[in-house]
Parts: sequence; C-alpha cells; structure tokens
Amino acid sequence: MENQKSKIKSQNYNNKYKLITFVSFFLTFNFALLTFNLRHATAQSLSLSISPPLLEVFIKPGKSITQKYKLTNNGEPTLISLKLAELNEYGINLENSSSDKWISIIDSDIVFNLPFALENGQAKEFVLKIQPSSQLKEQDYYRALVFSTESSYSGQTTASTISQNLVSPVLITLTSTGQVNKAAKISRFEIPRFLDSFGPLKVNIFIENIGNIYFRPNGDISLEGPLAKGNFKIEPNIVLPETLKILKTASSLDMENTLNLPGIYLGKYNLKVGFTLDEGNIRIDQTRTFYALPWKAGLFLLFLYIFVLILRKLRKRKK
Amino acid sequence: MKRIENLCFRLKCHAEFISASPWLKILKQVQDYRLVLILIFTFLIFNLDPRPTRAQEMTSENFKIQGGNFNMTSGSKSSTNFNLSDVVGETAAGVFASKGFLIQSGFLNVSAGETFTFTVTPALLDFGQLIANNPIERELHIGISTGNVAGYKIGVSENHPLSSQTGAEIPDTTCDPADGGASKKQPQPCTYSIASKWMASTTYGFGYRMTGRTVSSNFSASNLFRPYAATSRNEDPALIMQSTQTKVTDSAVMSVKVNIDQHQPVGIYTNNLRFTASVGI
Repeated sequence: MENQKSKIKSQNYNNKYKLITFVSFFLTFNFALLTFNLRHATAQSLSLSISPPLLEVFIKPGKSITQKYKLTNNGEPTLISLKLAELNEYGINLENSSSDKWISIIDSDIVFNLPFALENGQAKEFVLKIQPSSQLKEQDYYRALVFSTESSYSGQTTASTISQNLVSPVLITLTSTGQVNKAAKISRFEIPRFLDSFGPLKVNIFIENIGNIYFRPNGDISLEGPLAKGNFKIEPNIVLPETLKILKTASSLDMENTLNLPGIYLGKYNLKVGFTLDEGNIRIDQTRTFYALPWKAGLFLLFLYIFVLILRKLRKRKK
Repeated sequence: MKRIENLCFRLKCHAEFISASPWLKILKQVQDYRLVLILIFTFLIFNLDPRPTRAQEMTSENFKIQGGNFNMTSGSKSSTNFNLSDVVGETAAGVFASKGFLIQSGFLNVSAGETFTFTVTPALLDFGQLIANNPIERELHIGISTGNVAGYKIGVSENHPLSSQTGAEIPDTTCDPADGGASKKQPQPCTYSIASKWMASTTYGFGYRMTGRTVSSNFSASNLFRPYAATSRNEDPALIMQSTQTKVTDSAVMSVKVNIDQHQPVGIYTNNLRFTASVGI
C-alpha cells in the first residue's frame, strides 16, 4: 500500500518535472528566437539606398573628375532605371531628361535610361565621369541622378502599384578662374516690434541668392534679453541662384517659421542673425530689436479697472 | 542509457519515468540534455544576433588619423580671411571598402560616405473587391534616413486616376461637398495641394491622408484628405514630407482611401503611385 502511494507520489513528481522541463525549454527557445532574431522586415517593400546622396563639383572646363556611387536594394527584387535629369529649386523634371554628353557612366554595365535588375540585398557600383569641354559655358549646372523602380500588376482585384524615384543631385560649378559671384541678401526679416510677454516668438528670415552660384548659409541666430537667451544654429540648406529661401533652425518646430519659441518674455530683446556664405569670408549680419510687454493681460486689467470704476459710479448715483 | 540513468538518479527521477518519457527517449540519443540546452542557447545567441561591426578611431600617443581624404596631399588650411580645403593626387573619388579597410578618396565631397535610404512598404496596395458605399482604407509606411546631409523632400504622384481596361475611372476625390450653408464653416473642395474633410460614406473617389512628424501641415486632422497629383493632368508631385535637419530618420503613414457609388462599372481598376525622395535642395 505504501509502495503504491510512493509510486503515485513519484509519478506526480515526474509529471511536474516533465511539465517544468517542457515549459522552460519552450520559453527559452521562443524567448531567444524572438529576442535575438529581430531582422528588418524586407518583404513586400521598396527600399533603395544611394551613396553619396549629393555630389558638389567645382571644375575647370576641359578637366574631368570621377565619383564612385553605390546603389543598394534592401527591398524586394526590382527593375531600376537610371536617368540624368535637370534640377531646379522646384525639383527634378523627369519628362525632360538631360542629354549632357559630358556626364557619363564608366566602369559599369549600367547605362542611362536602360533598366537593370537588382535583387534583394544586392548592391551595384558605378563611376560617374564629369568632363565638361573647354567650349562649355562657365556657369552652374544642376543635374540629378534619378533611380526609378518599375512595377507591374497582373492581379484580379483593384490595386495601386508603388514605385519610387531616389534622387541624388549633382551640383556642378564650371569656372576656369575660380572667381565666382557668390552673393546674398536678407530680403525679409519678419519679427514683431511688440511681442506679448506670453509669446510665442515667431520669426521668419528670408534670404535671397543674388549671385550666380549656390551656397549654404553657415552661422547662427542669437537672442538676448532679460528673461531669455539662446543661440540657434542655422540649418545649412542649399540656396540656388535667383531663389528666395526661408532660413531654418533646429527650433523651427513647424516647417513654416525660422524660429518658433514659446515662453515668457519681458523687456527689450535683440535678435541677431549672422552667417557666412559657405565657409568663405562673405558675411551677412542683421540685428532687430523688439519689446515684450504683457499687453494682453494689461488690456484685460485696464478694461476690468474701467468696468469696476463705472460700476462704482453707477452705485454712487443710485445711492 | 547508463548515463541517462545516472543523471536521472542524481535528479531523483523514477525508473518508470526513464522508460516512459518521450523526452528521455530523445535524450538517450544525445546523452545529456543540459548540453543540448546549452548548445541551443549558444547557437541562438551567436547565430541569430549578429551585431554590425564597429570601426575604431585610429589613434596612438603620437598620431591620430583624422583626414577626410587619403591622397598625395589633402587637408584644411585657414588664415584670417580664408578657409581652404584641398585634395591633390587622386583620380577616382568614392568610398572604397575591402576586408579591414575603408578608404574615402578623391576630391573633397562633404556627402561622401553618407547614405540616403528611402523605403515604402508594401510595394502593392490591394483594395480587393470594391463594394459601393463601403469605403476601403489601406496603409503605406514610408521611411527615410538621410545621413549627414541637410534635409530631404518626398513627393508623390499617380500616373492617372484608378482606371479599368475598358476605360472606366474611379475619380480622384474632391472631398466632402459643402452642406448648403447648414454649418458656418463650409468645407473647401480638396486639391492635390490642399487637404479637406472626407468623412461621408456618400462621398466617392480616391485619395489619401498622412500622419507623421514631418508630414505636410495640411494633414493636421485625421480626416483631412487630398487627391493625388496626376502626371496625366501634367501636375507636379505633391510634397508630403520634408525636413531641413541633418542626420534624420523619419517615418510616416499614408492612408489611401477608395469609395465607389453603385453606378461604378464593375472592373479591375489599377494605377501607379510614384514616390520621389531627394536630399533637401
């Protein structure tokens, strides 16, 4: 009898042991699999990478340079075609592909406007050669390499296929002397003369490229006053010739303002913008002063005071 | 078998368990289950968790290799009036990689070595069988990574409205119509650059809305939609995402909606949505 009891006991123990072993094994395996095996989702996606994303060239007519590019497909296998397009401040115009013979691809099986296949995870390298002839007009040439995926659909339901264009701009300055007309001006400096103390301070600064070569503003905007101080680095965004562009800083909370600073302000403030064109010695500075007063709260108090005064007078008259 | 029994003895298992357990039958073949567990765990950690190799900065007590270029001569020179960056002697520019080496050579290009990545998932939006007055929404996930380049812009356009092989079309949405003056704020018809409300199930067409940190401020509310710019109408791609900051990795979701009325001819309607991503010019 006792033997039977101990047998049942040990059977129960064994069942428990089996269960614990199974559960711990199951949990260990799944934990390890799900925790250490986090791969990027690649199924059913279009994902292209290009390096370098931007090429800036300063070149003499008659000379040549080469740049190596690497295109990687991280998405599903796709057909890609490479086009050379003209570029302006509004973007690229794919309908009018550039026909510049002095920009070519060497050391690669890639040819402009001919599609090639790229498998998942595959990368393709090619060398871009820029060789402007000595007869070519000395000016800026803005072009873009456009990698376009192609798509097709043969399903039996309503669907939209997805394609992508990956654009890598090529900005070429053609000059034989190195002397270029780089110039800019602050054409609009929008700042309130009187700001309510409870803010926010919204500032818009527009710069205009009045030269004939593109540049990047390189500098900062500083704010000085009794209650607030700050320094904001200007984002070095390219400004093409004959274009007007709003300066942007990291504090441009939305895409509409140069500065958008909530906070409490009181007294006299100076806002100074200063930047050079690229890393050169052409510097542009401008300072504006504004006053912060609690005029909204002041007006409210004034109206309240007048209201109370009128109320008192009316009461006195009644008495 | 003897080792299993010994092991089981150490673990105080019962003799019947040894012969009955299917687990131990397997263990009989591989001798020691602890070893199996260790092997599985080690395999999982080492094989399923490959981390990217990270390069080290090359420094010593006397030297620090810091040059952005590897040429006959290169570097940055400056005086009170000038900053000069020069590179002499290389014929092909680019980043050349081999086992253990990474060389950035050629003329100075601030963007050399940076990678610009653009992803759209999925590569096909399948709306299935369309039913009248039953709006269908599908999501597209957009991701972008710029590297050390200032800003990006993403635009989108369709080749033409959703159309069937017989030439029937699902028109691009113009969003909810005005309600005849019942409300004070009349909804504006949406265009490819201006979003407007599209809530009514009796408003038909094809359009999209966006959510994300850097999407156009047009999409400030969840039910604001726009039709796609169509290249068949000579419209330029509409800007949907942009940033002016460097080293950003952003994502957004595009919800694409289609709704048809009962008069819509039966058919398979298709079109192509093209996304264009560029660094910020």
